[in-house]
Amino acid sequence: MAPGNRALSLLLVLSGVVANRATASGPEPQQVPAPRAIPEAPGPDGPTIDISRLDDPVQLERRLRSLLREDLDAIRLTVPGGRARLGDFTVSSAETVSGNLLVLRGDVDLFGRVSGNVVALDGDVVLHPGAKVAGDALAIGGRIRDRGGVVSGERRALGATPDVAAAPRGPLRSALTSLAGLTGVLVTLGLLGFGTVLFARPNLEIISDTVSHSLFRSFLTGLLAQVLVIPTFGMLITGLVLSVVGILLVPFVIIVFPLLLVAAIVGGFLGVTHAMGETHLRRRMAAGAMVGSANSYRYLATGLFGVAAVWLAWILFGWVPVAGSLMFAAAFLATWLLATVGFGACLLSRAGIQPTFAGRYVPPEALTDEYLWATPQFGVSAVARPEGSKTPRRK
Amino acid sequence: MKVLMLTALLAAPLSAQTMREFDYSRPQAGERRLHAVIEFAAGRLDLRPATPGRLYGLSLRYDADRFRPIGRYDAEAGQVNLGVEGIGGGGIRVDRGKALPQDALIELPTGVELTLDASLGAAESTLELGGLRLSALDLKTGASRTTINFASRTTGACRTASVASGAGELTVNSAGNSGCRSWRLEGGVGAVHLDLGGAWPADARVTLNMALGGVTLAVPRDLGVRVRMSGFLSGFDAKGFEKEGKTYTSANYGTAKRHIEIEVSSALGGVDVIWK
Repeated sequence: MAPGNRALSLLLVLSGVVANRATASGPEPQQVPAPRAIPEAPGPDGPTIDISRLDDPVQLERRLRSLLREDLDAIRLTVPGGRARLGDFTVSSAETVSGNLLVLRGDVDLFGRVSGNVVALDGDVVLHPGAKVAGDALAIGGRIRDRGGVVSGERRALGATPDVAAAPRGPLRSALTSLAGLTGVLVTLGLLGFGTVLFARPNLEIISDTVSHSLFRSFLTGLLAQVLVIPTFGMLITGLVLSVVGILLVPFVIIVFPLLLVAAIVGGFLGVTHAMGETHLRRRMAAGAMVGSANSYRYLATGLFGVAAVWLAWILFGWVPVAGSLMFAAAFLATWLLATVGFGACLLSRAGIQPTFAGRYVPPEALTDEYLWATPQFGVSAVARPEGSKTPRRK
Repeated sequence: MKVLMLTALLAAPLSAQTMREFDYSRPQAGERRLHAVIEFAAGRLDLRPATPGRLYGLSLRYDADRFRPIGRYDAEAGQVNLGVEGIGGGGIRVDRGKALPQDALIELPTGVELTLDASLGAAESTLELGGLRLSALDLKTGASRTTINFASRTTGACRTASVASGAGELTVNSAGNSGCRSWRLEGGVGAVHLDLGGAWPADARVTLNMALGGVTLAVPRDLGVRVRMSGFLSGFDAKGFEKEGKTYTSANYGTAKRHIEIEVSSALGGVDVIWK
């Protein structure tokens, strides 16, 4: 293995191990903050979290945790119609908190009254006897412990998870997850493709040639087939039911039809990748590049990597706002186009049986033996054409 | 080395375990009616009457990578949305053995007029509706196994009960206790077991539309039943019935205190009757 490859391997293995460790060890131990009030954010553009509606605690948690990733000492937060605190907080029996109350990383011990909503992140809301919350109570990463208090509105508790699932994953982790998915799909399609080459190479090659020689026709056929597939299935079932005798075949058709459909789509897609790989490698060879054995396995692998490259671009740069979405749309569209072309080619060639549209028919005039009678240059006399022989004509 | 690389890449993101718990409830505060809309995409669901003083409750354990909890209440409309919905992420768990056990317990009030709309996906559900003040029921299920029980009489004036089952099993026990005067059951592919036991407060009509699949009717002997069959290839177990064309009438129809008119429309499948 080349030194560069070795270094890359080590880097990948280490990244996997590091990611595993991070998962296995669970969340990092949280810093226990000293109880204090969180000052309001300066200006209208500062961080603001409205807790007057608690319909979506998952979204609220996501925003609060993104806030907590900042330096806790420098944290500033505006809670419209209320206040925010860091660390454990107690409302005494003689006290009334007006408005909403948000407590981050601490328990809320309520003996008195709160006129609005109460939200605790990574802490419990403890309702002691005599406590009253006029609004709703929400504990994220904690519980609502009722020891005799009253909540006039709703009680919500979104429990903690071992790995704080709601925290957004970083771009690197998302990319690794997507990369693993792409690798899985690639390996699966590769295995299916190699199996097809091994056992049904003529069929695959005919589909591939159909794609190469009748691309637009294949696309139109695939598009039309997508529109008609469900009506066809319905008509088939109806026809079988109406024929009375065919009723026995209905369960068989219900199972076989979708299987055939999937096989046609996957087989067609493999045919497209085969055609892509073949075209690419032939062009390289025509340009004089040294290519190893140019066979169907190589064509397939090359085509699959070509398709994967489109998705890889999205995986690597999908986190970029707007551009990421556009890249996903482009990758999806490209894959759909290829699948449609492949599906159409598969249907046109009757699953690779009929090479009608594969450009394999040689016109009759091409079968001529004229070259045998061509007059050579440089003075060598030609052999006389035998009496009665003639060039075949197109019928 | 290449295998090691692949293992490292694949192992890193797939080992997270992300089950979360979500509890949601609200006390009663003089509400007179409630429209409960339940969505439950996948897992196990139990529904039962709430403890006194509670308007609704949801205790949920869900897969946070793939789903999010639903808990919303609109006081003006008197509508609560409960359950769990997919977020379109996290991929598909192809290994069923590793599928996370998602489950929910929903509680609904007994003293409030209740309209229940439920959409269940790939779920195994048991709905205990006995004792509720049910005014209407609309249930849609996907590929699921659903059991609806009326262990005791409902207290509301139930107008209609509509249950649409995609593929799977549907069992309704003691339908008479529901008090619903009109039942409509639509089945795609699968089995429907309808127990007509319970205390019917009035005569009722049951409409059964089945595509493929069998229907089993459990009929108390003191109930007068008339079944009208329509469909292409559907059979009817006529034991204990008098046949007239495509209408089957139970022998006690003239003397029975309560009568149930059943219309069965089935493309393929049969109707079996169990007298009890």
